Amino acid sequence: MPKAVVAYVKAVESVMLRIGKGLSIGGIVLLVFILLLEAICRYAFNNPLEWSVELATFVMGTYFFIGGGYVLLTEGHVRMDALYSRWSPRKRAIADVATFFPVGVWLIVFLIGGIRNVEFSLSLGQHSQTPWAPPLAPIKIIMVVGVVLILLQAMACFFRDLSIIRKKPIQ
Amino acid sequence: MSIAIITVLMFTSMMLLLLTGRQIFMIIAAVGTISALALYGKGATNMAFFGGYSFMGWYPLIALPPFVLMGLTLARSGIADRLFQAIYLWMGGIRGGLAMGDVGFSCLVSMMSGTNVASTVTSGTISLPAMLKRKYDKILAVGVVLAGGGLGFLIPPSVNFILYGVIAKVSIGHLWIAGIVPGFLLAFMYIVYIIIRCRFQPHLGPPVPPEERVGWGDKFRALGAGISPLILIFIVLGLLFMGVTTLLECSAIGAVGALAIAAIYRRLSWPLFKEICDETLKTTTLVLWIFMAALTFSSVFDGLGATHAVEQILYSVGGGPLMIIVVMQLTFILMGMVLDDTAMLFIVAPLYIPIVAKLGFSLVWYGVLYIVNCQMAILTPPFGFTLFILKGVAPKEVTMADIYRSVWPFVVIQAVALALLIRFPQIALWLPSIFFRGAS
Repeated sequence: MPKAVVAYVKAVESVMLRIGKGLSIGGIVLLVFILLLEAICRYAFNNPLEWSVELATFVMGTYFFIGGGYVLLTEGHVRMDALYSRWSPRKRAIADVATFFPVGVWLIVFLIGGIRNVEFSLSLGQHSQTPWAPPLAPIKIIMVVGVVLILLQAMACFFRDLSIIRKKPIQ
Repeated sequence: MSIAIITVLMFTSMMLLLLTGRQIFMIIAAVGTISALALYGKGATNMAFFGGYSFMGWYPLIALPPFVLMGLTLARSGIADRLFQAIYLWMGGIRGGLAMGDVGFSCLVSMMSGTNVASTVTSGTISLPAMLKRKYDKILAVGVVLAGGGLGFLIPPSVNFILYGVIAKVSIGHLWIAGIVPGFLLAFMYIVYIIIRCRFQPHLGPPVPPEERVGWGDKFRALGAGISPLILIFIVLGLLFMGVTTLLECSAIGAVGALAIAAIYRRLSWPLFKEICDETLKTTTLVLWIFMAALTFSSVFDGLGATHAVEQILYSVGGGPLMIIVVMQLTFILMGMVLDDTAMLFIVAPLYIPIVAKLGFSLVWYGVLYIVNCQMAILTPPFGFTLFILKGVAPKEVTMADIYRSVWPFVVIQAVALALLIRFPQIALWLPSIFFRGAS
């Protein structure tokens, strides 16, 4: 594998691991904190928060969108492995390389649709139809970032698989 | 091209591509997107994104990570060991007692964890080795652990009911209450099966030798130690069912409560906390990306008016509304052999739920049927996910062939339970009807 490709794979993987580390603790702590705060405000101070559930939705959205790439790297997504688990690493790599292309189509379509939606929200200054009325562009941007991350990681996996097929696996 | 041909093409290509072992959510999304591009051209480029964006309106999904965190904390911190110790001391002396105890144990672990994966792993690592050590029949022991793990789907706080509730727009509290009686009915049927087998084939489940049994004092002490997580669960569910807190608040209270219990028993460490958080992120992300992919897949059908076509196909079978429900269950069982439970729900449910509602059936009842089907789906070879999970955690002497052989009696029991539920909807609907009297 060319040096640049090896560097790319390593850079993406280390970024993913760092994101996963921060997100796994930060995301859930923030989410639970918001939900508890709501319960406390409603009961102890009789003052329900109008923004808590919506904010929690945004945190939740960030949590699993940004986490997608990390979970892909750490093999957290389920495969139907009845055959896959019996194959040699090389055969698995070949299968994954072959199926990368349809998957790439999806991710790119996802990305195009996302970017178009963000542009739309930004140009209109779109706000949510709730009393709190937060702007909607930020969460859409986060979604697009999540798609970019999963695309970058899918490409890193693709290069790793290629290197396995060529019998010079990236260390 | 007719809708039927498109549908068949999409499903076949999905099934074939799944065989390559590529991550399930990617295959589902790719088939959906490419079909949409082929059918609708440029207009389809927004569909994938909208599939993801529609999530932001589905509040019950927020409860997912806190509940997963709660379950993992109770399962991983070793609190469940104490519970099993109690069951071991109480039930060990009876013929087949450990197997029966494991069914009970699974019910309790399910209440703590809400997912079948967590309860299968817990039983597989705690009670399966204990049964094998006591010379229980391998096939029976493995079957009990697998079937018991599936009870997590029915007994609150079941994560699958949250997902179904989001799709069917049904109250999750309703669904959880409706799952209780069928859940315990299934557990009872498993126990009866164990009693009968062990009555006629005593070598399947020999009792613990008398010298290893203990007095009543020790028995009650063990029970006391095992019971604290259950108190937490009853508080969390009680707050929800009494209408004191919302589902989301309950999930947060459960997560914090579970961490507190683990801390009180001095089982909580920073590395364990990191591990649990990491696992929570993985579980949530995995489920929601499949969800999103399936929305993209099924939105292709929306454009085709496929609900109508499916309705036509189902009506053409004949035999009235109940027959349609039965046919739907059969398709679930078939799909369950190849797909995992979440993917199955997200792909088929949007097509079926409007039809069920139109036929005038209760969507709560239908949800319970679907959940029982999930239990069968995860157990039926060749592609039952729980089977592989158990293989991963079970002692070495358990082979994949043992696991395949062990599930059949329990699948038959589940099919009987499913038939009972179809014939007598009251089994599911009675408890919610008295609980929410006046509310609905």
